[in-house]
Amino acid sequence: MRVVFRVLRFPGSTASLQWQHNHRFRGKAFPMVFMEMPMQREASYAQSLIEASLDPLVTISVEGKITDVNEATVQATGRSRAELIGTDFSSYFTEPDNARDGYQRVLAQGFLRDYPLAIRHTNGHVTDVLYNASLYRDEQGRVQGVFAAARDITDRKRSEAEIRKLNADLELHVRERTLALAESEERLRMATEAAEIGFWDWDLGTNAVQWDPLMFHIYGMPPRSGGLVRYEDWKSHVHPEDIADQEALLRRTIEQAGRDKREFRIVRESDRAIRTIRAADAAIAGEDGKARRLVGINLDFTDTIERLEEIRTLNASLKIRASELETSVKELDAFSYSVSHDLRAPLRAIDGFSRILEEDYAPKLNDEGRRVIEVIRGEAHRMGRLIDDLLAFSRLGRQRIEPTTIDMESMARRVFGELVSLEPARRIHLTLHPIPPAFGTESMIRQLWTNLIGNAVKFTGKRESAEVEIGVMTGASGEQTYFIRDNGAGFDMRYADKLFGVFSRLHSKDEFPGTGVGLALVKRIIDRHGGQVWGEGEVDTGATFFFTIPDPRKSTTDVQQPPPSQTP
Amino acid sequence: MNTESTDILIVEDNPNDALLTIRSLKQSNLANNIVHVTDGQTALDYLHAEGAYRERNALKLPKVVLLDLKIPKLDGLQVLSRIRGDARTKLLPVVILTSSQEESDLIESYKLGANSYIVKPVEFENFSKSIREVGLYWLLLNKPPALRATL
Repeated sequence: MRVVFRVLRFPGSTASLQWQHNHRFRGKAFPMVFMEMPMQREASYAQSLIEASLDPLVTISVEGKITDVNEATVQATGRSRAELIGTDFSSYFTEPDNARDGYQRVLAQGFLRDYPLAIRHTNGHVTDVLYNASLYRDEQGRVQGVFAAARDITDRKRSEAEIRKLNADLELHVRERTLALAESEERLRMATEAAEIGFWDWDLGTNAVQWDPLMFHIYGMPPRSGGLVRYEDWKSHVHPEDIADQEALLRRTIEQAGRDKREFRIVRESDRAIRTIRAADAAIAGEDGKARRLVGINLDFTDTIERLEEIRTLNASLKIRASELETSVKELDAFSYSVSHDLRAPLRAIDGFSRILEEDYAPKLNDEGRRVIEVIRGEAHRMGRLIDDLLAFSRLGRQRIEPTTIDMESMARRVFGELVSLEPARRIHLTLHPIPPAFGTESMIRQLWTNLIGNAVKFTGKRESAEVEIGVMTGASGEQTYFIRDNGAGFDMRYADKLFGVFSRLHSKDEFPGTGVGLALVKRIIDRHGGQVWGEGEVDTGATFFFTIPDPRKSTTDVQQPPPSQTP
Repeated sequence: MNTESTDILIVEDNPNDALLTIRSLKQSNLANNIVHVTDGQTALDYLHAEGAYRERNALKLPKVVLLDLKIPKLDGLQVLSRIRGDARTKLLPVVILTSSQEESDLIESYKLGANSYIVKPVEFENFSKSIREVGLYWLLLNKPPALRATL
């Protein structure tokens, strides 16, 4: 039941209307609630106004009991008006103590501004609010209770939280970007420093030019504070012959608000040296599209030019050397040709005429005479072989390397068979272990086997039972070392360094015939294949020769072992 | 001037080699009429009946030419090239008989149309044997083309 009183406030204020409505709850009348209005109106109007408020409004008695609420309060608490009225107002807040504190403060100071509290709904939902409250009194000025208006700030709080999060995100982003920028600036700085590139920035409005420290370095000028120079400072350092062109180019870049690359000479201040500068400029345009600033870089590349010049000179001299070398190779060819042709002819004559002497004048010669003729012919033959070997050696140097995969095992077997067939009277036993193929020039590798196996056959000539063993050792890093061992005459390791020299022999020709070119050829073949060859021996026990043929396809860092003293 | 038909023209500047060659051929009774010249120009003059040989009957060509490569004036390869370049001698059998084992000489000789390439062995016995075999082959076994038909 509602009763509306119309009361004039004493002493009869003209501007206010006081209204009251009384509530009954369980048959009991409750204190009146007053609302001061700016103008005299109907009480229902005020009531509607309160109801219309979207903010929870409540009136509380001096005892702390709710005397009235509006619909917004009902919505916020989840309780009906009837349930609320007459109950302890503080029990609907998440923090009742705070609510009571606020209430006490209203009583003490007459009002409360933006006091934060949270209303708890029966369904558990919490509404954050700010309370504004004031005392209301009766006509005699006695305190009747507290009128409190709550402002729902849930949305605001959410927005605030969102804004805070956005802010945090933004800050993080800015921090990251700043870091990235600093990093890229640092990189650029390092790059330009390392490349000795100077930066400049010319404000076309104020005509101020700013240089970085490298610009001063390039121009041989003492650095100035803030890097500030004038356009004329630059101009005065440009080579007089270049200045007109350079200014024209700069003007064009400014007019077109474009970019440009230039090259000009400067006279360096520190030592008056003429240096060549490579420059790049870019105009930075304002909103009107006209150049406001010109920024650019300078690079002193005089040294580069000089280095290029040096390289060119070196190249030219290399070319000369190469052609000289080619000439000497041709001369060597001519020499070989001459040797092959001219040295053979007299030998043939010596041999031929000795033979004629033998055939036509035999009756006039005694045994000694015939023996002398034999010696002459024998030596002529030997010289013929020497010349042939020497020519083969010389040809080897000029022969092209045309590597293919070679079945080393069958090649060694074939060569051995051919050589042994020339010695039908001898018993030579070959132990041929499985050996891997090699990548090399076939004719050369065949020559290699011929010479090595030939030596083994030759130097076992005095053995009843000659043994030749061919196999391969695998080193720690997987490299393959072929070896061929015999039980022949061997050699003294003290002379091991003479094994591979041209015409150098470790045996007299009476013991073992030969020209001393065979192993030199072997060495040359292995050299041309980028491998290593070495020998081990013991007098009257035998010799072992080792060689490697690196496969250039497998590895470029295939470092060969130095001749080790390993034994398979 | 000898108007008899020639069996072999030897182009060889080394008199000893020439002597040994002729001796080997004669010993085996293969060639009776051997002409020996010592330089490339004379060889061409002989074949084309020019210069000192202008009285010679140019239609009578040797059965084979033994040509050394390293000879004065025109060298062996030049002589060979001229022989092949002339219609009269285009089909004439030419055997290169040289000390040179150079691959380039060998290839060049065959390119220019040599019929055979023999490296002179150093040992006299082998040399003599080679010459006899060359003589046997080119003078007795080989059937040369009718040279006149090409004229």
